[in-house]
Amino acid sequence: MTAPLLSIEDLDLRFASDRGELHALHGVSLTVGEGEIVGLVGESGCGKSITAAAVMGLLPMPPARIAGGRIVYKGQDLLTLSDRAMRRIRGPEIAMIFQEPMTALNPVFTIGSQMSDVLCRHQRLSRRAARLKAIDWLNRVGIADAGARIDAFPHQLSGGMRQRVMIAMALSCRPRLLIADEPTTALDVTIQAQVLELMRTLVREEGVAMLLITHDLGVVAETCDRVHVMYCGRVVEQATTRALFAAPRHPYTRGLLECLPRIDGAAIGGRLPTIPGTVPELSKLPPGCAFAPRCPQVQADCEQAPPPVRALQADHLAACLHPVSAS
Amino acid sequence: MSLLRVRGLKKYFGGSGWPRRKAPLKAVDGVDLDLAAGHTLALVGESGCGKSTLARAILRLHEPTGGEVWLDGTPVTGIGRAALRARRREMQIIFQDPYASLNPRRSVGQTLDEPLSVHRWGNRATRQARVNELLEVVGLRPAMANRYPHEFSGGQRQRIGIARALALSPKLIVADEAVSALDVSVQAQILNLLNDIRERFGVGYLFISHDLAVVRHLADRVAVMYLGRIVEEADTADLFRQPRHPYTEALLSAVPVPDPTRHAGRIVLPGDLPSPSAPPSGCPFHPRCPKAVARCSTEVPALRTMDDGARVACHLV
Amino acid sequence: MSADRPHSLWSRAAQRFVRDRAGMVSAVVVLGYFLVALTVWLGLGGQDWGVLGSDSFAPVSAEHWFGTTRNGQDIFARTVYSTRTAFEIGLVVAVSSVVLGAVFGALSGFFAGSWLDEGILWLKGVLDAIPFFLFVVAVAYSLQGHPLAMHVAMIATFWTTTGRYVRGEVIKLKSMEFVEAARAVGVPQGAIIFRHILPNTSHILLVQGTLVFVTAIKAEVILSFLGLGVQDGVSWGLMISQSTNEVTAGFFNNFIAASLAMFVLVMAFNFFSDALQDALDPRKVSA
Repeated sequence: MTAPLLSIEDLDLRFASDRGELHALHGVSLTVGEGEIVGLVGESGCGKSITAAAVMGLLPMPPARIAGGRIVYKGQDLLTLSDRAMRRIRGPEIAMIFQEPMTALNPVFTIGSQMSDVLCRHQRLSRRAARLKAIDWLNRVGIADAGARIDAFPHQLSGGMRQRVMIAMALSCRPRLLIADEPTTALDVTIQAQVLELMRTLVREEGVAMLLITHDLGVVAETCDRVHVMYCGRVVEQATTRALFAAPRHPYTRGLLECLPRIDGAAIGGRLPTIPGTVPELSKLPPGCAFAPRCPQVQADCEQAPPPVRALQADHLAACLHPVSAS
Repeated sequence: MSLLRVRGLKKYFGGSGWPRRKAPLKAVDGVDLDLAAGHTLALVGESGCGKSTLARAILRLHEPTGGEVWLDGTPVTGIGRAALRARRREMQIIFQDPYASLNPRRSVGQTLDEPLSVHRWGNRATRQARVNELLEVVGLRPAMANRYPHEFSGGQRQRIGIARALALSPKLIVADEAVSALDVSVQAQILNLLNDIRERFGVGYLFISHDLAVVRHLADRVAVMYLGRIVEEADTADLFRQPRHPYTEALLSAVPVPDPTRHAGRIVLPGDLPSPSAPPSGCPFHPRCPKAVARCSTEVPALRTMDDGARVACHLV
Repeated sequence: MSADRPHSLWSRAAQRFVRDRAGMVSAVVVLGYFLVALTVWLGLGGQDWGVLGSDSFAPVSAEHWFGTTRNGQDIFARTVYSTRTAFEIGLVVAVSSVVLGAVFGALSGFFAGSWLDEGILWLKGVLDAIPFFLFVVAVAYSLQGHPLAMHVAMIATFWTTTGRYVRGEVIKLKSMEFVEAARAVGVPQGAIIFRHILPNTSHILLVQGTLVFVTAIKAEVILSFLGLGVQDGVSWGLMISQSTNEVTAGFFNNFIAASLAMFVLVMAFNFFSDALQDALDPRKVSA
């Protein structure tokens, strides 16, 4: 197997706060191969967005502090790069789209001028060529009448349209990796279907790898090749999408899948299985497995030390001492 | 007799304006609904379809522009302010945002006591006992009454909001996206709580949600809204098995399913949701409808009742 | 045990304030001034501020800590007594204008768009449009030199800023779900405004109170200098006004004492106000 495009190795990240240092990521490891779509899924506060921000070098330091680990992209550790070198990575190498495009677009410039700026800077095109290229990209992301819409301001577009513009802007620099942080969470379900479809198609056409961060297991199942599940700052399970949904091995993953009301399947009504309790606060993590207090099959050794990530099968890893059986 | 009966309810915003009269925004435009006691009617639709406005108009939190609402056989519309205030004990609401729905400067006990004291329920001691009872019903400890909202997690706050809605033993509870802001594992707990409450106290729910999977789990009957109107209403099992309106069909097929082996043909609707301030002519759905014919752009389809009691507003059904 | 005790937003803000060093130092300074003012109120100090002595321009001595004025009055006693005057003006103006601003702001915010709101906005617009000193002259004239004329003029003009902030905050708060919940429960309108909405503007009211306090003290100096200010007693403004003649004669004690006393109090109050603002910031409180 060739080296992956992006590999995060044992990333340890902490935040200074007025209640002492918070341990946000406890040795997170994940890989994204060339052209692969990888999901990073978990509930709010599990550290999935922080992981993405760390890759992009977007975390304010301080209060954030990287206490260990590496983020290796194409063989170089991004954590050792200067700000200037990082600026040459962001955009032409790794691009990012966010949940709320309105906060990522500048409200006082037209989308055309924002797209052209990016193209001029990273691809060294003339203004004129950049504008033509921008129109071309707006067409590709399915914006009707792109020649006119290019002179619109962000607030004149709908949420779905803005997300399309963000995707066009991100992909126009021909990055090798796209990080998408909850890209469809703010959208309505019919619009989400359009945008997901568009992202899948474009990513495949361009051969771009994608790290998709989401809380929605449905979106993961439909989009990703491989999945990492996070809980309390750790990756607790990773596998191919098929394997994970067919037979989740970590009790947390299984619990999540079970307590999700389904639009398919037979059962209607009745009680849903639940995961008891709530996600512990970062400042009050238990000494052992962070999921132990909520785990239905917890045993004494779970509370000793955080369980290491182990390979249960080829390409199916879980951080659990007593994983759910595969059958 | 139905618990809740809504006829021709309308809520328009704006439309006054001087010196030039502006066209009103028809957020809810002539809605009829019936909900049987102890049942759950879900109201689904995408943002801007008017579902939350409809809920607030039913409770008269927004004064309806037209139409009538009956609760338990007696009218809620057309009654004076004092009479309405007295009737509020029969109908309550649970909100979406557990962080905005509790007053940050009032303790949980004060928040739960308020509905009781406003309606002169019992005396201080019995109210105190009622507050403790409510906390237990929603799965919290009575000792928590002295705490303030910021000391609770999102799920716990939602439980407090539910306890407040239950305080006066209402017959109807409107749940406006009550589980949408919660994480999956907490959402399941709250859905079970809502189920338990329905069984234990026999309340009827008007359950507003954009999440079809949640609706399928909780509701007996589902009404689908598009641009201020109901386009389809049917029993839950029927609607999910055999949607009849093309919009319902597209909506159901758009929901991502947590099953990578399932690759059913997806209907991806073209275009954006139209703005309710400038609705399309004819059937409001026709510009996005994969099945639209010429008639759809000129004639508004009536909401017709089918043989099995379902209602559909489509020329092609 | 302490971990299980309920914490209101107030106790959290207090915790945060105590950790702010500049805030705490300034609070201690302000408290010191207040104690000085209190001794004057209780008749324990500064009472002989008006007594005319025999020696003009006496230097600093054990008898006259800050020296004396041209008229032989003890500058220390005058400075101390002026502290009382400053607190009296600051407190009266700050409390009254904040209360006025809160009530008018809350009413116009809650009934935004109605005739009541229009009326209050119009009143605010008119009061803001009149030049301040002209207004003070007009009030002083119409009250025929009443000692409270200055207070009335300041209150009448200073409430508008608070009113504007409160109106904006109330408009934001009244659409929040907890206010809707109160309406759904059947809480009467008045109780919604005064029990649910106004308490959530208290951070604005407190900070505005401290700002108005400082503004009032500074305005007093200018007004007294112009002869429109303090009519009975003595104040830092009157001292500075009186000292102009002395400064030309080369005697600075009176001027320095009054301006330094005022400067330190205003500085401390500004720091105090900043720290209060940080501590009460609702975004931090709810985090």
